[in-house]
Amino acid sequence: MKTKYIFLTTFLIALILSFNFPEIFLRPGSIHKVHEKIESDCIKCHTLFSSDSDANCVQCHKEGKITRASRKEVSLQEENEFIRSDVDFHPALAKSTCTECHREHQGVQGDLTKKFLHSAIDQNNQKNCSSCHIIPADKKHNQISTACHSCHNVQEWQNASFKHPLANSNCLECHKAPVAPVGKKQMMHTDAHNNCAKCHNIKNWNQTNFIHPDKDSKCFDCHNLPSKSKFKHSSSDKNCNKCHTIESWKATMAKVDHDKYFKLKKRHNVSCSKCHTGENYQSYSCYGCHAHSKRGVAREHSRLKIENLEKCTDCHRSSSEKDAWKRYRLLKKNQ
Amino acid sequence: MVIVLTRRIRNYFFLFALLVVLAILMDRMLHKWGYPEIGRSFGWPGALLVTISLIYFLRKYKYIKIGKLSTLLNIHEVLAWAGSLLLLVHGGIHFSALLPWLAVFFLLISNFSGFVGKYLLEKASDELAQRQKDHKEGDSELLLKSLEVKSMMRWRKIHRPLTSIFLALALAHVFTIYLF
Repeated sequence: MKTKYIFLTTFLIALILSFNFPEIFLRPGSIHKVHEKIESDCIKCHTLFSSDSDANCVQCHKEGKITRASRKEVSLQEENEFIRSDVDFHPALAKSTCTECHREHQGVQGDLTKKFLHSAIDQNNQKNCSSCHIIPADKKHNQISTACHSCHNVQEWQNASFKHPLANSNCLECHKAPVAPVGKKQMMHTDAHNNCAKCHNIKNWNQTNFIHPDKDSKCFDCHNLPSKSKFKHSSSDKNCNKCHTIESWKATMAKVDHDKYFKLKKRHNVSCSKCHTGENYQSYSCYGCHAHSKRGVAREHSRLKIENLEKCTDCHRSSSEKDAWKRYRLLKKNQ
Repeated sequence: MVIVLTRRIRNYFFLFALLVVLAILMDRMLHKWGYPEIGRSFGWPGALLVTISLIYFLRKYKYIKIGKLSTLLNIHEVLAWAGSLLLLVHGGIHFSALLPWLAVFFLLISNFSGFVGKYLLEKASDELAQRQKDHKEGDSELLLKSLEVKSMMRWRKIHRPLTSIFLALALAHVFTIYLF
């Protein structure tokens, strides 16, 4: 048999067999299980004498409905937790060729998507990362208001490279100014007038060098008034400097000359609230402890005909009875 | 004589084995590095080299009259080997569609057959040299042809059909690729 006849016969047999049994002679690999219904129908995806099969893809996969969430076989958390589940970037693709990113015949459980290329997305959406990605809600990212690509790149998202601008830059170009009322911090930030570098430095943001205004400033411009229930402050006349210093707020300089009113010696050296039971230091009560019952006090003072038994310190300025008699006589004399 | 022939067989076998091993290695490396597309793109360059190598066939059977036969034979050997390497990498180790794999199978058979032909040709040359040494015969070219006819006629009856089957399958493969 001549070579040319062998050639032609083989060629024709190969073509006939290929047309009749394409799944055996032509199929380059099993198709994915999601396409098993059209496994034996090559023409469903392929167009004869045309390499453009995209038109056939969109027959089933309608544009605008090809979201990740619609693909139930994909575990979103496993794939990438920072990609929005409802995202459909397909309309944003600069070139709408399915086979540029997707491929079939990779096996029953093969990977239908090749490596995703950001370059396939149009320029506007490439810069708008949040249109597809979830912005992490952690402390680090909450401070940042600039575009993601100032630190990240699409080739290697995890390895962000951040080079902090110099200290004299405008911090608020990237950082969000504290907005929520956060106690002392908020007071300080209100006063800072967005001049972060006044207190913060770029090497260690938390380590601040806050310079307190001098003591003549009005404390309440920044500090909150203590609540009224704290009776310590009820009679302070908003004059904080009377007790506090700007060096140390907690270590008070409050030194009330209590001896003027009552000497706190021996058994009377008790906590303030033991006697000052009201909301004011100026009010007090000597009743309440086992030694001073109203009945006992009334009995003791009945012979002196003292009617007002609430103003004990008019006579009693210490535990000494002798001193009390002296003051009583003096008061009587003055009357 | 026996030692020389054995070494020659070993060399040809080495070249054939090198073709297969190199193709497997290249395929594996390209997959490992994530560039299997490069291997797949070797189809056309491989086909081109094999096609160019067929110029020898045209010159041998006087379809063309340009070029020295021995030079074209050398080119045929080199290009066919290199083209086969590219086609094997293009095919890769993917046992799926039967048609391209039949083409690959016949490509390997044709290659092996080519090495057998090369061996037979060199064996004929050696025999000629031996006879010239013994009998000092005059027309050496005529004698070479007679020796070649004897040994290679039978080989050619196998090599040409094998190669044509490979070419037919390869062409059918290309045709069906463009069909879908």
